[in-house]
Amino acid sequence: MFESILLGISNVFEPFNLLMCIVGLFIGVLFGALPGFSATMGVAVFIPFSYVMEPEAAMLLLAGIYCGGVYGGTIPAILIGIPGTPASAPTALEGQAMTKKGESGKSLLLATIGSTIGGVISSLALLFGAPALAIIAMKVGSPEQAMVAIFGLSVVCMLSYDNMLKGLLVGFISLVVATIGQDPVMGYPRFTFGMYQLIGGIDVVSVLIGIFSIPQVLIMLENLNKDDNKVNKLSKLKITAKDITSNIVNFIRSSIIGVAIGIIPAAGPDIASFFSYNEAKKASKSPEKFGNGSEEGIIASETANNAVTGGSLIPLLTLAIPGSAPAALFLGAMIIHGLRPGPLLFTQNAKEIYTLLVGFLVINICMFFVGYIYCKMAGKILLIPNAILCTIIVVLATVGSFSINQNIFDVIVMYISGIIGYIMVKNDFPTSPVALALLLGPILEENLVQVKTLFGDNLLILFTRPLFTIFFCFTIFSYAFPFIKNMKRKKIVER
Amino acid sequence: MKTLKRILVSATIISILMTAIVGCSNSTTSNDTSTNSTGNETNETDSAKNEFPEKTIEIIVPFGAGGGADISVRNLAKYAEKELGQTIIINNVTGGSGTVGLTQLSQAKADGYKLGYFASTNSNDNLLFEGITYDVDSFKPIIIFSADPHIIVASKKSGITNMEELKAKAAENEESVSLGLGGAWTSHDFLRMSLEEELDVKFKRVVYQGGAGAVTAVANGDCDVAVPFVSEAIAQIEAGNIVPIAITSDERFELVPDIPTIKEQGFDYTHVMWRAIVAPAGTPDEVVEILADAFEAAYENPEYQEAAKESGVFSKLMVGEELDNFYLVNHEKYRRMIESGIE
Repeated sequence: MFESILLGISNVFEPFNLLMCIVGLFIGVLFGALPGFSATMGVAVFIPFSYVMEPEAAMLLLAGIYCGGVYGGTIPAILIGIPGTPASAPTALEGQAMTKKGESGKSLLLATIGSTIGGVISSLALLFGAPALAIIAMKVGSPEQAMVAIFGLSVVCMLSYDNMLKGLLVGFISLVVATIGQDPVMGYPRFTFGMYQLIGGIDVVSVLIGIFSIPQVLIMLENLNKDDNKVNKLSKLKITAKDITSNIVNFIRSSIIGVAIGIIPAAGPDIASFFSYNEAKKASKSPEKFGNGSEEGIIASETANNAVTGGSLIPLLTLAIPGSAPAALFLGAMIIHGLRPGPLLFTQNAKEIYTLLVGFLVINICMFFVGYIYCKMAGKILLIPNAILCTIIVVLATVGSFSINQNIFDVIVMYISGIIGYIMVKNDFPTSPVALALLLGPILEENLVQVKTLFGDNLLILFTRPLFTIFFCFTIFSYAFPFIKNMKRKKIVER
Repeated sequence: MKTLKRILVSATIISILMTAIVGCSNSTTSNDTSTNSTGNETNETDSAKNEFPEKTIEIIVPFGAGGGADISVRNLAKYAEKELGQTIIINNVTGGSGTVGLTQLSQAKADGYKLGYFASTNSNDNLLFEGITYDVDSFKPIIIFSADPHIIVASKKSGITNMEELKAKAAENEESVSLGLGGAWTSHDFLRMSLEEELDVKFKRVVYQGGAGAVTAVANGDCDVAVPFVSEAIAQIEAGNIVPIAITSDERFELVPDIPTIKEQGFDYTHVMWRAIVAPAGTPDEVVEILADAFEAAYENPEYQEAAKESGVFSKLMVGEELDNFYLVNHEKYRRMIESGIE
């Protein structure tokens, strides 16, 4: 293995390969940063370009786009409160408040550092721990996935801490919306009203593009003439040593969450960032800052979503189980280049695969510098007058939602959800539970049905599965936490 | 002034990017007028034949990039490009379990510039899904280039190692063996139906979203048996986590030569999912012929064969009249299965 790593290192630092890493990052961050475009899309668009390249260079290019894309969503999330990708949705909850406070530069830099740390830790896990961690991936069956989804829904409670009823209502309705389409077992259409476009369900990504960007645009337009509170300068990209030291636990915790979610099939960067954001809020000494500009929240979500990148490749390379949507694209690209995932890959194609593994590490380190350059330039976004900025965002959202499935129906879905989102925001309904419920709903349904078919006669047997039991305890704690906290607070008030 | 410049620059960059992305998909409408304006009406069909293809060809794959369908088409398209002398764009129009893409194709102009990926069950989509406007007559098959067998795999926990044991265990009780499928009404599900008939047993039907999920469930012992495609199963077979029982083609597959066929184990049973390229019905015969020849030549290319084998695509060729007949026979076969399944 040591020799293979050395071989990988020497390969990565060949000029063309290194160039591909950096080009990939630049493209990826751009895709991530444009609202409506995502890492998945970036990888999909560039797979055909990678045909003509050597397998190593192709893999590095796509890996760069993947990592860069997941990172890029941060930039608009912080500067204008619109997440570039759903994976940065929690960041958007904090980012704009930070920008208004005049700490945009600091937030961007912290997010960049977080993404880099998350990415580096996940690449190390991928490089040294892949075979061992793949065994965990295999142990995650339907009971565990169902539990993760239930656990994930508890985040809805935390996100709507101030107004539980509204939050739960949104979460519940979104879960119902997630059932539109064929039922997973018999294939009967549900709520499709005879429209074939709805057979496969509504497209989650279009809904999220709509619900995160359109309301924000409309609000910006409302205040078009009151330009006094517009921040039009990026504050200095500067942080103090204390910002790092006080967040070390946060960095590490978020990275571990990210890698773990990456390994679990089906759950991707978007879910990881919500989970991690949630845990950071629970662990935080100043949870009241969450929602009003908390750097801990930004760090948690950005570190975790980049930690997914390496994690999701672990089960992919060893057992051909894709751990996220872009990872599934990666699988296709690898096969086209004659790299068939499996245990033999590491011996038969050692050169290519170790170039990718080492390259992943290099890419994540380079990401800091590429990110820094983008942050410097991104400050200019704040100079664009709101009227023009809003127009650009709407255009991007339209093109973005169209290009997912090349389907005009998705654009309509995007606008409808945008309008609903605006009504929700105006009436103080939180919008992030929509994302969680739509992403987790199908996972939950599919796995619950499987559990029922396989273990329906004796559910207690599930507790003999260690991972399930661990997830179960987490879940119980997670649901009880807001109530315990509420009680504690009451006690303090009573005293 | 400076701000204006910045805006202009950013607007240009964005518009270039958008054109690049949208342009990849919508390049079919613009060239229609150019042939007419030359005024050479008598030679029009002739020149169409000589000149076809004169622009980029698009193949709609109604499933996501990186999946089995996508990989198989991309592979073939890569070599067909050289034969046709034009670029082929793969357009993944996903959604609606593949019906959105095929609906688009059925409504496209039948000029040979928009083709689509098509598999065994698609001609019956109007029975399987509500609101589907296309049917068996909406398409003209060009080439079948692949017929993917499934591998029947069992978990180590189940102790099943061959077809005889599978039959014996499944016959013990109704639903005593759980069978993981890659989705409702997919090739996996049709395999289950016909295998149940052949073995005269009833499996416990567990539905996953995608073959990889079913394979993982067999690997960790949750599920007894699964029927994935070769590419979905091979990593776990190599890792020794699942036990291959049989391959459902009538011959062994080069990539996994040690796995015996079902026939070898004394059952008269095969099940493959064929993959085809189709055009909208009404595409001129000479255009279909040019396309079929090009795809056939690409198929015969040893480099393609090697690449197909590597990616777990089981090659099979059928073109021309034979294909047209098979297309209809196959349609009837699945129609019967669906109608009995729905009851």
